Amino acid sequence: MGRELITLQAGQAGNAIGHSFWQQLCHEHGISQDGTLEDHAQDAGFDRKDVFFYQADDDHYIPRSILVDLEPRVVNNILSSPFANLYNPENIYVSQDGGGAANNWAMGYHAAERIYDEVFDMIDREADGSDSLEGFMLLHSIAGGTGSGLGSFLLERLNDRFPKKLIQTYSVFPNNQETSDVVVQPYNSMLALKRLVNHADSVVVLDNAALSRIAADRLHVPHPSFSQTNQLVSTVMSAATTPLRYPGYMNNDLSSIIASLIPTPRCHFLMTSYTPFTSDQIEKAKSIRKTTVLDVMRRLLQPKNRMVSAPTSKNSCYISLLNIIQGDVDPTDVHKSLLRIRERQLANFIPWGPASIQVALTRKSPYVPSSHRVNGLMLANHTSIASLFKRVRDQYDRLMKRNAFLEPYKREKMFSNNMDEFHDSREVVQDMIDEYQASERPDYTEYHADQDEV
Amino acid sequence: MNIPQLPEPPILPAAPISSGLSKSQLLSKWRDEHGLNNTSSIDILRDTVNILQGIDGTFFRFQGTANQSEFKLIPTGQRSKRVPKPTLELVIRLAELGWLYKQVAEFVHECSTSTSKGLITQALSRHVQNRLYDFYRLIALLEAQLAHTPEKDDDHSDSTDSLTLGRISVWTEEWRLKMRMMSTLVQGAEDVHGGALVSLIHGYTENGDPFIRAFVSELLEEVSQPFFNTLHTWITSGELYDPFKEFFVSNNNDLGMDLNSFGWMVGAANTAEHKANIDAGQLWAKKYSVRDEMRPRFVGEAFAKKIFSIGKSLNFIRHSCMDEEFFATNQISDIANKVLTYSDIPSLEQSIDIAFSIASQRLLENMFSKYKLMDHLQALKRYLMLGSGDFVDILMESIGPSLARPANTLYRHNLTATLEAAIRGSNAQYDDQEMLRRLDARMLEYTHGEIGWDVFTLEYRVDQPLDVILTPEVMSKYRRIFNYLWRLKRVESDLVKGWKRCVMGKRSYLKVPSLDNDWHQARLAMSEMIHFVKELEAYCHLEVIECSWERMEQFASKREGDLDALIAAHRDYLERIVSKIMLVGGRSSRRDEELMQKTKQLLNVILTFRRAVEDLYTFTLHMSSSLDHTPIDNANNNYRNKRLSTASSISRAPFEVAGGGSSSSMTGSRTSTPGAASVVDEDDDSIAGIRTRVQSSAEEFHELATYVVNALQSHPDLDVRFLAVRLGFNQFYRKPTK
Repeated sequence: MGRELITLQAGQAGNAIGHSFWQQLCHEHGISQDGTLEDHAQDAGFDRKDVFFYQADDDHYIPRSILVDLEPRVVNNILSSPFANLYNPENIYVSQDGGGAANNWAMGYHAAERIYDEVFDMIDREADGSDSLEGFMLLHSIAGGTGSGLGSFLLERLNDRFPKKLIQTYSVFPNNQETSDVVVQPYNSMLALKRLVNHADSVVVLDNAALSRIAADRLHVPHPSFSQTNQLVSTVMSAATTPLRYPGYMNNDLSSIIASLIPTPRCHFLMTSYTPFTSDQIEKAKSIRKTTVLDVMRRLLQPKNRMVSAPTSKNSCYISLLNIIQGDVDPTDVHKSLLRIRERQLANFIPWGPASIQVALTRKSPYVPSSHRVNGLMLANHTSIASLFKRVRDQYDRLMKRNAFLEPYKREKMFSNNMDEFHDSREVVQDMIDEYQASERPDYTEYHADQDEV
Repeated sequence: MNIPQLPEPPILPAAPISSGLSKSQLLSKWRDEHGLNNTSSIDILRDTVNILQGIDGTFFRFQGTANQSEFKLIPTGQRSKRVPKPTLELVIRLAELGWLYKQVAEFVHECSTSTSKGLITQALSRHVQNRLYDFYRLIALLEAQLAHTPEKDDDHSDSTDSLTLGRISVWTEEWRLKMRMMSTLVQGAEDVHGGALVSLIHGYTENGDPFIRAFVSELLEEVSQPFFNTLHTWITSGELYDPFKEFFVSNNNDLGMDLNSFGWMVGAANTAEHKANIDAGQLWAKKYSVRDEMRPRFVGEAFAKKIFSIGKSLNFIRHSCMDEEFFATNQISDIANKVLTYSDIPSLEQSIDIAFSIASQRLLENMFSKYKLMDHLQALKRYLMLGSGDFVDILMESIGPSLARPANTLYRHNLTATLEAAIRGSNAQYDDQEMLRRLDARMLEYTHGEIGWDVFTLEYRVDQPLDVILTPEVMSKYRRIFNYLWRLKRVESDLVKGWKRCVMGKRSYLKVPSLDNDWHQARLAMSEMIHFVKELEAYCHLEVIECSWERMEQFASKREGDLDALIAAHRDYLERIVSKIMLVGGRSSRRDEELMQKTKQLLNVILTFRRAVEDLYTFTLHMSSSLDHTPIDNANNNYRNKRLSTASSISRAPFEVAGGGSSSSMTGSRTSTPGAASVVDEDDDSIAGIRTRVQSSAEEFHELATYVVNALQSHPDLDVRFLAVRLGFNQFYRKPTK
């Protein structure tokens, strides 16, 4: 069977999220901590495990996942967890010196150059082990050194080596509404963003600020820990991949999902909403919701449920929108909900092309008890996401104006001569912001019209 | 009745009045002298008793044969004496009974000698005969009394035993009514038989005369017995025992004979051909039919339908579902122990109701449980309605390339092998083998010039007894659905491929700035197409198929009614799907056709567009490779000079061989294409052509889409109209207001 996805987990955040994601997947597919099928999950034919797992000779399920980090802490945590034996040990790369990337994008990037052969051996091996590889999923954060720098390097090389394979990332954006202990976050973010723009096909943006807000507001956890926000992320990731794992009549592969979400290559940053979070996923969340399809779909459209803190302006609009509804759903409810939402004009759409709320109904794992009948995930391409990048850009500009904290970067090869890479990255990001803004206008169709004819 | 002609009354001569005699005595005397005196009453009585038995008397005889509707009593030549008019009238009145008797007796006689009379007619004959025995008793009594009657009129011994015409008249009064009734029925039996005769008789049970009513009811009780016997076997065993075609259910012999003589349900190989000829659907629909004229009127139409269904169901259970055990169950024997009679219609109705629910429940249970109907329907939905997306994707991917070839180069075994692979590669492999082995891939009849896409189809084979529901006609509808959805899917998967070219390509190889606008336009057009096709597909699957399926499942869980109800439920399910996905049900069939035709045209335009985009892609690759040869420094670090650097970064991207689907990855090395410059020159011409094709197909698509969306907006079918909501969710296709 085809359409496999290989997951690359880079850096601390990437590995932590990944670990949480794999636990969730195991849970949903009835795979035990050591990769064997649980007794209650022997019935085949309901789900498709082979998109994310392969089976070893002894039928154990092994994640198609590669764990890379420049410092051993998180990976060691994973390897001392009950799920230690789930992963293929040959797919774990931890830097020997264990020094990390010191929150420096350039250090991460150049470290990746050095370990290129080893990491790509793993990737090639995994790719060769797939019947018909659909693409890659990179999990990382863009603020630090490893996820950001090493992740960027991986993106560039994946792009070269697998030009026809889809590259999707789940990228954690720093909480730039709070002061951070990593002052150079804006630099790292900017440099990584350039790669996300140029070398990824789709980026699911996970905004730490929004994650904390959701944990606080919706789940009543005032100071959420990383593991709690990671659980939010893994819930989102697992929901986003349900159509791939529980085949239905449509949207059974990643490219067909993304093809309808991303019309133009640069505007490929997706935001998500998820509802409702339940207490078995996050402690203390209260089950106070009446979960009808309409209710779920309406909540998904509410900005406060978005996992991106991006204020919507008058003009901001949906370029595209997919609701993945899980659970026991009466198909006529979907119909009614769509009509209601349109009646009330709960969503703004682009003026230059057709857009609507696409709905994918998927099954729910029978092995994970849920207190909600229906839950839903929204994957949306919304122009307001540009405001997030603007914030990154503004913070970057403030630092750059002062030439602050540039010393560690200058020590690396890329910046030994000049700061061109910074400027270029900013330009790429600015172009992307511009295009998002242009896409809010009817004349977006003419966006490239000023270019020379051949 | 006609008064028999009598000779003119003689003109009485004015006789001298002889004293001492009363005038009547004088008259009598005079008559004696002239031979005109009255016939003696004893003679008349004798004659009357004969006439009552339909025998011609001394003085009177019947004229004409018994089957005439009127009778004449005429004087015989014997008669010389006069009969007084009142007496004559009385005799004539009594003669009617004799006349009627004659008819009835003849009928009885005829029945006893004939073998071709129906059972109901025979029952009537028997009953009538029994009544006639009573009648004979009466006649015997009359004759006995006649013996006691004095010979002479004058003998006025008022013996109570003696017979008079008046007495005969009184005693036969009741019999005349009965005989009239019987005669009417007997006459009716000439024209009708079987159930119709029962109806005829039943008609008289509503007579206003309680005597008639009681008489007829009693008669019907017996006469209807053969009907109830047939009914009994019909509703307990599903067999029709009706040698004289009297029952209101009739057997279509052509099919029935086959059933009995071949025993094809056993599944012997040599009967396979036969099976193909007669499917259960035909058998169910045509083996038996209702002869409404034979339906006794005390059986209502709806009630008859139930009875019809019971027998049919039982027959089907026995012969098509091979469920013999059912007939040994208590349920059936309970019904079998019930005695069905005319006098107890309420309990009959109750029995029928019970039998109906037992038989249809059992049959439905057979269909649902033993023959896994819902599993088959599910399989049809999964495979022929493309519900199993993963299976369909793999099939599309593996079979797609070969379907672009001419139909006559395709081989069936290749198709089936691909199908096998798609099953093995998807979750379909976990489906029941029972379902999977029925799935087949084949080509429809093709004409010259058609390609694989035109003729490829999936098929699902069904056999007894499921083909009672999945008849060939029904299966052709499934095929129609498949062909349409398959076409949609093909366009969708082609668009996704196109999207990979357009959007993913930007990441790696579409780096010719001068073509950015072309690509931008192509992408926007493509996103419009993707939106259209995916919404159309989502509509077909969610609004139409899933919602219809819900209803089908509801029926399956309730299981109300009989097999006919099930057939109807499935037909509705399928009809609903066909009409809604084909967007029919518009104000006129012409508009329906136009709408569908435009939709199909739109799908074709997408394919045209895709070919143009493919050419644009090839062209762009040529451009990229020639840009590679322009003497620009490898400006890896020249981040400012974006355009040039993007152009040069091609060098790291793999080069795709123009026009081919396969890419050869040549990382890190420059490719040298001899004569690249000349290629560019030629391409300057061809880009204009490509650009026109991309643009014109994109525009044509937009026009068609606008037409379709607007046509859908006024579609009478609410669900179809909802498709317009999906497609035009953000009012993109709203007609510009003038």
